[in-house]
Amino acid sequence: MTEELRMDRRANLRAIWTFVKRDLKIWTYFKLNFLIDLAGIFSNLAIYAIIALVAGEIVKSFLKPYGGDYVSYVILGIIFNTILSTSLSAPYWGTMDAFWSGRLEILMVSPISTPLFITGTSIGRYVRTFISVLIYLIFGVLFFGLKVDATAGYGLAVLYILLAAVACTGLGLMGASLIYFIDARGGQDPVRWVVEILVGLASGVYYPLNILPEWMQWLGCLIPHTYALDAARRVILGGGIGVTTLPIHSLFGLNPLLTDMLLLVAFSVVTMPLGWWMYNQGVRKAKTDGRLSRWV
Amino acid sequence: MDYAIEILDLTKKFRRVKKIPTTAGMGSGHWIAALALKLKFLKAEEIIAVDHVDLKVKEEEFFGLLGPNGAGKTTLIKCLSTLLIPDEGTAVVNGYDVLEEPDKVKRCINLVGSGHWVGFDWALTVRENLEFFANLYGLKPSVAKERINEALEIVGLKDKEKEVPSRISSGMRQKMIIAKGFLIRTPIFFMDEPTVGLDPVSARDIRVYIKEKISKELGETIVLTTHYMQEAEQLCDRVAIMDRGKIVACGSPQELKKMIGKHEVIEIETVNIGAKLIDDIGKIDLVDNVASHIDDPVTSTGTIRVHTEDAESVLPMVLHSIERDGGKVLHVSASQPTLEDVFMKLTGRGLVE
Repeated sequence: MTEELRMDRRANLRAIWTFVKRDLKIWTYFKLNFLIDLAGIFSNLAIYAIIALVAGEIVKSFLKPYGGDYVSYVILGIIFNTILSTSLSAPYWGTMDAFWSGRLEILMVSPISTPLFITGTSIGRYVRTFISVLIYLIFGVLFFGLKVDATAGYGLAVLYILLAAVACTGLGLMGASLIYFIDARGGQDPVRWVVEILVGLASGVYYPLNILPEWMQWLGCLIPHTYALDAARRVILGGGIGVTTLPIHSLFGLNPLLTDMLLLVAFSVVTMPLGWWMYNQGVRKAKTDGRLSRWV
Repeated sequence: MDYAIEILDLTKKFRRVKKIPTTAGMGSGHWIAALALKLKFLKAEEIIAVDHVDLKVKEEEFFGLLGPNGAGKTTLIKCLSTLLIPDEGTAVVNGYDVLEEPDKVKRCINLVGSGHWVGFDWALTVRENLEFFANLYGLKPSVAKERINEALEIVGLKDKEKEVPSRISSGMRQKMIIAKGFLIRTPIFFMDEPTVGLDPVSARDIRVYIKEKISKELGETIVLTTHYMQEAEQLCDRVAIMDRGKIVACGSPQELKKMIGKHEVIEIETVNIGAKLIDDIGKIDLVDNVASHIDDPVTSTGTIRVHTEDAESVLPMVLHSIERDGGKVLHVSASQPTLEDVFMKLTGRGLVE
């Protein structure tokens, strides 16, 4: 007897789990990779600890809204950026991985939906990211003086990061759609490239934005990272909750934390639907041009 | 529903950019000029891969698409399986329009292609790769386990199930692709040259399973693309012959072979087959068509098939040509027409060129 394929809730969960299992198997296939990742995290933290020794006192006054400690400031920045970077890149790498392995057509002809495919290929990357985050936290506390306050507003910080992750996923989907639109298959897409430059320069991952000229601070306001980093650090590290740190805070005249929240919601509401729309249009274009397969 | 698949005036075109090399010798400082030149010389050419095809496949039919490489078989299969959007026309698969209801079409179809690395992960074992796809198709774990065991048994990979794809041969990787296809039992099964790269014994066993189990027992409608005429003759209830995007003939293998009419086919096994020899034979009076198939490229040994209405008169002249061109005749026989002969009569060319 023949049967039509049906994906119920359980089947969808099994499909997601199979993506995760596969990603973890590939990640742990070469045992040395994990040790190299550990060493990379340690050396990264060591670099910023040394910078803190040299310049920690100089930037202390700029860090008042975030508690004043540069090491804690920068470690949290790196951790949050690691998570948001995964959100930004997962749709692209999930698609590229499927494309280069010749699996994209198989996925497109299977009964799983595009959101499930993107979710499935992303979750494995998030698992890896959260393991890295955990290691950053452990190394940060044990060796580099990251100050963790048990009474800090971690729940609220998570909410800010989650909102930014949604917004970044939307941007990531826009970037991934360019695989289909402009053959951005060389490991980088223009959307992610621009966002990552702005993140490095003007989002406040490595230094507070108030040390920059005002026009550069405005550049930082173009990406969701800036608001998430600003708000999440404030609620975890303490300092001046009501102090304005970004030029856009003054425009709204609201509590900066509320402004950050509203802007992150706005980013998510715009980028996520737009990202999905662009991705679906990209798939449609690829199906018209015959570019789903690397062999066509 | 009378038909499992109805293809209605379907056309698929591709636009390919033709790059022409720019002027040589420009220094690296002139990259802008070079880019401008390149853009100026970029040309797009239109390739009609599938050209106004109309076709109906009955429920539970074993249907073959036969044609040489580049005939448009794979493109047609991709249009039917929603991987390509046709430029004109449409198709109805299991009652669903490929343009209007692609998600419903995907629930009814299975697709097996060829290519040694298609879709498999190098870090997962043969069994883990199949489990991965079973989960993507929504199979329950107990069903998946049973089907994977059966599929591995059928394709002869049971003893390789714990190997990763890089440690097995390319033929075995093709068997993995086929095993993946045996996991699900949808009403429609598209097979795009599934036995390419397989050894003859495995190919025969797999053909038997496809015919007996999937076609006859399960009652799946099968569309098989192939350029192996024996495969099409052995398996298919009906065959459509494709050439340059068009269906040039369609019918049962017997019906198609009747199209040869009064033609006789002389089959000559010889060494030293070359383009000049084939050309010379083609120029002989009363020879309608000639095709060759090389079995041993080192000695150019193979078979020449000559179509004629008067084999008695033509044979001495053909043998003379072979001798004159340095060939050595190994065996001569009168042959039954094959689907390749049909293709040759319709297009003037062989299936494998």
